[in-house]
Amino acid sequence: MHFTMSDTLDDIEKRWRKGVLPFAVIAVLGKGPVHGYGLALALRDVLGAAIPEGTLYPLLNGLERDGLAVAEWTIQESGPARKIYALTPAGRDVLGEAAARWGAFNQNLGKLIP
Amino acid sequence: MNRWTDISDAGARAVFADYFAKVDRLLAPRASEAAADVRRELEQHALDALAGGTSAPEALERLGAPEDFLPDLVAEKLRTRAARSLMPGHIARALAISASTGVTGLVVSSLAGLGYAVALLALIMGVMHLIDPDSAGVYRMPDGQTLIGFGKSPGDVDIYGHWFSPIAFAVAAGLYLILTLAFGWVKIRKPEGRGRQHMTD
Repeated sequence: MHFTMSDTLDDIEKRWRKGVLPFAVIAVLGKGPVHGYGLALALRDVLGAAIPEGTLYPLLNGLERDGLAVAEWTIQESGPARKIYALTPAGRDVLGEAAARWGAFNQNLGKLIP
Repeated sequence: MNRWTDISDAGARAVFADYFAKVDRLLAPRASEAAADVRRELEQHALDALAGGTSAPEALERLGAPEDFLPDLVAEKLRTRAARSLMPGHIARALAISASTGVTGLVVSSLAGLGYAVALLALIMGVMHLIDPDSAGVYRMPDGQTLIGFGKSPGDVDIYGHWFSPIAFAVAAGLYLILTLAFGWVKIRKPEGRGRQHMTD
């Protein structure tokens, strides 16, 4: 039994998608409050088909627990109640720092890719 | 649309019924506010996808198999709640649910459970010492060894005397607090599996 090239590439891609997901979630929340499905829509290109949207909820729960995001059920004028997530000031600080680190990381990685 | 039962298409309703039966099965032993919150949110997510033009099977496939993410999510919510409330009932529930999520959860819960058992023992010893100082304490035996335990034997010296109970209560309370906060904030992660494998030979 061995891995085909396609498997290896799929595996690499899945891992980097998973790796950047927490940062991507914070980045989307940084644009403004959003509910779970809205977040999934914004992240479709990042998630790809390999990562189920349900995995966003443990991530959101972790952000809430760590004080980086707050969540509140909001009843809208039309439509059902939705749980809306928003970054806290601590979450905004993390986003700023993560963005700076991502920029440096991306630049360094770029030097390695032919 | 507020509930999947409001879906007019019978086929889509059947797909949702099947999916949320699984969700309910997974959440059943976790009946709590946290579980209800999770269910409501997942339901709204899938209904939003449906309203956006996605078919019912695709909407639920995108959401993922509930058994892949639900148990860990609910266990984590219960641990957080326990750390915030410090209530024994919440802690017991979080321990039980976390233990059922996998080997890592079982190990972490067992270690935490052991710690709580020690805290309980310290509490019991403190109370017993208050009632009868010879029933529990820290004793120096005639051969010079120190013993923490129940029942003073002839010749044993009660080392802490009246201080034993306050010390035991402080140990019990401190251990309870530290364990609960640590257990509440610990991130239990499952080891990641390898990707798809193809048998080529």
